[in-house]
Amino acid sequence: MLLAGLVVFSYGLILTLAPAVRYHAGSERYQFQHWIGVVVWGLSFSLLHFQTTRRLPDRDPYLLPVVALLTGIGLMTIWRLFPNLGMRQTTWIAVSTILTFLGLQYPAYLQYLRRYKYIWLVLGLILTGLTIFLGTNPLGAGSTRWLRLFGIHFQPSEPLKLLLIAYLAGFFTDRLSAYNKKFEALLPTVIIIGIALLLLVFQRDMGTASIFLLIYLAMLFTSQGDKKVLWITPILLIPVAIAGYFFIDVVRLRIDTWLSPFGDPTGASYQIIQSMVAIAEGGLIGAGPGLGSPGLIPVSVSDFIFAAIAEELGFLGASAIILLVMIFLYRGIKLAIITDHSFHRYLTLGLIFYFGIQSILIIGGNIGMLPLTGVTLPFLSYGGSSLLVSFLGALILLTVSNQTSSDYPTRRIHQPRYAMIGFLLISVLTVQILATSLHAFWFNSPLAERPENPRWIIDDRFSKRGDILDRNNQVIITNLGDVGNLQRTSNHVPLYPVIGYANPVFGQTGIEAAMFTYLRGKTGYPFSTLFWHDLLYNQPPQGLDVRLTIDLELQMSADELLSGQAGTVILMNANSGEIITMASSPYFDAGLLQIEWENLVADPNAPLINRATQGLYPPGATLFPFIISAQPNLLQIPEPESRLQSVISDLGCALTLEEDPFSWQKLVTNGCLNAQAVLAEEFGANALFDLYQALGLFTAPRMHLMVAEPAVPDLANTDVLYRGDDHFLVSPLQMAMAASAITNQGLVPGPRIVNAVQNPSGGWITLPKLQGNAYVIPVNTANQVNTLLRVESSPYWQVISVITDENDQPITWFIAGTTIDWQGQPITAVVVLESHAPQIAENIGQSLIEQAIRFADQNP
Amino acid sequence: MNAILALILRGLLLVLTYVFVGWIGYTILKDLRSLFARQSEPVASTIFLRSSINQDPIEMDFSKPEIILGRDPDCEFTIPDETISLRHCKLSYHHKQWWANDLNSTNGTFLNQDLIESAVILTNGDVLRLGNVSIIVQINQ
Repeated sequence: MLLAGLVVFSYGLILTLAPAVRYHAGSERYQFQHWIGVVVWGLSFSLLHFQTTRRLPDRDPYLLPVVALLTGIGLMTIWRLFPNLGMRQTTWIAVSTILTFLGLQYPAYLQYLRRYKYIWLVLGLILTGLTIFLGTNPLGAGSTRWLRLFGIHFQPSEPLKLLLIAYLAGFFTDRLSAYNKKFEALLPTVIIIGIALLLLVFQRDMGTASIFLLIYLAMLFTSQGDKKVLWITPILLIPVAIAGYFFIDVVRLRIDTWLSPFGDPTGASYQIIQSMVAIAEGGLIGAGPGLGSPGLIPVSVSDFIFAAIAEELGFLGASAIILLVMIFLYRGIKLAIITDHSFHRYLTLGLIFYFGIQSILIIGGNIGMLPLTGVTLPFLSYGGSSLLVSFLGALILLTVSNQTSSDYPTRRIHQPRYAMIGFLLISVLTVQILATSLHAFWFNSPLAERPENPRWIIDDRFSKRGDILDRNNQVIITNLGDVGNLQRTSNHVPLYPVIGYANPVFGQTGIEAAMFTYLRGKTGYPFSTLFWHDLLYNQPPQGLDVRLTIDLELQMSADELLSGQAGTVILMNANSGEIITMASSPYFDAGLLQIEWENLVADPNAPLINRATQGLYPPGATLFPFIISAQPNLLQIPEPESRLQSVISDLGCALTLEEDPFSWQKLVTNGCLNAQAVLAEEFGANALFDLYQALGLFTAPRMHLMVAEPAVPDLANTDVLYRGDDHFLVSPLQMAMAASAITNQGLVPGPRIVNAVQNPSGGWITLPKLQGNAYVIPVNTANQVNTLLRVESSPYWQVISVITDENDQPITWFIAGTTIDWQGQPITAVVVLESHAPQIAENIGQSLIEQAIRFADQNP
Repeated sequence: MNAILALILRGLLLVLTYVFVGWIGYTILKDLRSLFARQSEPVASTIFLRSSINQDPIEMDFSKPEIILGRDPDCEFTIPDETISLRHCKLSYHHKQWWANDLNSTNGTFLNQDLIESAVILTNGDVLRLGNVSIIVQINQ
């Protein structure tokens, strides 16, 4: 008894400290309100202890301490979850204690219970029946299983369980002659049970209904001495279950989610997955009272209190609960075996079945072992009716145990059947301990890492996420607010399509998604730091800063140039693959997602997409320089006309060509699609296919961003390969990488946007690229093409093209790069506009590449 | 500091809970062990009960140290007769003797026509009467 007191006292003490730990704050965060609960609990059980010692000297000594400990742990958990419910539960404990006290004062109540069993039962049935007409729900909506009286909600089906047990016990004692096993003799009980079940099924209270049925069958089995019951039970239950499955939607839902818990993680099986995830989060010793997030489980105070306890006290705590239930059941079974009165024996058995079956059902439901039934965990769950009935049940057991002589060693187990049922209940609980250990211990990481686990959102509010910096350590994204309410904020909103967001509702994208673990300090810290943080705070340490290759100044001017257009800009270091600028327009503000989500999703301009990596466009005549590079001999032929007789009247150029003579330079830089097609045909589809593949136009680049899979053309469909339209789609990023081959001596660089991650001691660790470089075009050829396409008196080459995509949307491409005689870092630029705007694209592109060249001058 | 204190308390919480569970578990284990130890005690003497209901003979041989006679089918010796209580009387072997005692039955238990009020020693050839049913007792020493 004293031990139980100490346990609850330390639980209370931890709850006082927990908020301070969570907020990394001092004593100002201490919490004291739940001590009311501790005090009331302590007084209640001291009183009961005193009273039982006085009135019931021969009682079973273990029952009351076990009840006390279970109630105490439950009460503290409820206080921790919802203090207002904790207050109510405290009141209910006081009320239940007073009633139990009175019961102890007048132990003759048992006789009355037996004598007037029909009156009691009918009363219970009427009350339950009333819920159909007058039922309410304390939450205001949902099933109406409660009765409201003087502002107090009461669930009559709870005491009905007790009355039913008392009735059955009385009935079996009085009426049942051992040799009257005929069905007629049982008829009254069958009728009563039938009525009770009908009422409950009508109220969709399947949990209680199944408990009634199981209690009835178990009592029948133990009292009747007919082994047939044991076999008939499953035979009867299976059709009932199947019928329930097909005719009652709740049953179907519960069974479906039980069979495939991961089938509908956000809908039907949300509860059970959240429950299993919580158990997994608890691990071996738990997050610690007040430090976990069991509030994320729906109805965590009543139906899922086991999962809530498992999260905060861990597998060890959860097992202790099950062990306590097992001890309770064991003592009860023993009582049933040694008692001399039939009524007492049946009553005890009924109560044991009630406590045992209900615990097994709801714990099994919590861990996904059994279909979920919305019943309470006796003594632990929130709920006045349930608590009161559990207390009264315990009172009956105590009273019975006092009237049973305790010289049991001289007695024998003359009722192996009870022992068998008891053994069955206890073994099921043992299996549940093992199943819990599966979630909490052996397979906890796959569960905890499920996308349905929302705990990172809570962590984000309590632990600082890392900043996102540009290449010169200028802050792009940082945190705003205090611990407990931290939020992300951006210094350059137009970059959001690249940065992305990590939002509880709308998912994760961009850098925030790619660098998720670093920004949250889950990767990058030594294991010991992570371990201690998890152990002490159940939070990851402060996040690590991430440095991008983006140059914020260039980025700003790119965003400015692109404003008003739908399109994208990429500036890439053609040697290292570092992305200096990546702009996508229109953009969105991740800080306003909650408000604008509907509009953003519905917007035909798709602002949420990062067009540079996720937009796919037909390449069209931007393929021209690559086709040229495949047949450098062509360039030796001075007059292109001779080759282009067939299309000379319509070259399909993006910009109108000036007067004759044509030159290869003009044809390519102006994106003359028909000319490209003729030359491509000469080169051949197979060779082209290989070339495109080598340039990476058929594969999605790998980098720390989400990248769209390109649409690869069919080799048989040669025209698509020649013209780069129709189903042939590439992302601007792919094009920037391919164009880098012309800029930088045939090299296709692996892209890189994340430069480095800060390590805990402040240094920077460069992250390796996810994709290496590849030499694709011979150096000489690349240089030849580069020189050919050079813009007069400028240090860069360029190609402009316009192509119409499948939806008749004109797409303007501008690709450019530094020339071979450029001394600084080689730079490639790609501009894509979703309109027919070659001039604008050229202006944007040229302006950017000139800036970039100046920038490269300043940053050698 | 708070965190470390909380951690220590968390450990304490679990340890205390398990001390609680372990302590009860230990006493239960001890209890069970003594129960099994007693149960496996050999019985030096066997008892043979013979009776008949409506000309149907009921005969049983027991080597258990405790036998309950009654109408309840869970009894060791079940007698389907309306004059017999569910659990009517108990025969037990201790102190190297077989003892008979009434279990507050409605119609009482008689040993050789004497009403049993407290435990009495049985000898070979005694006749027990439960309600209207007579049972002949044979004891093999």
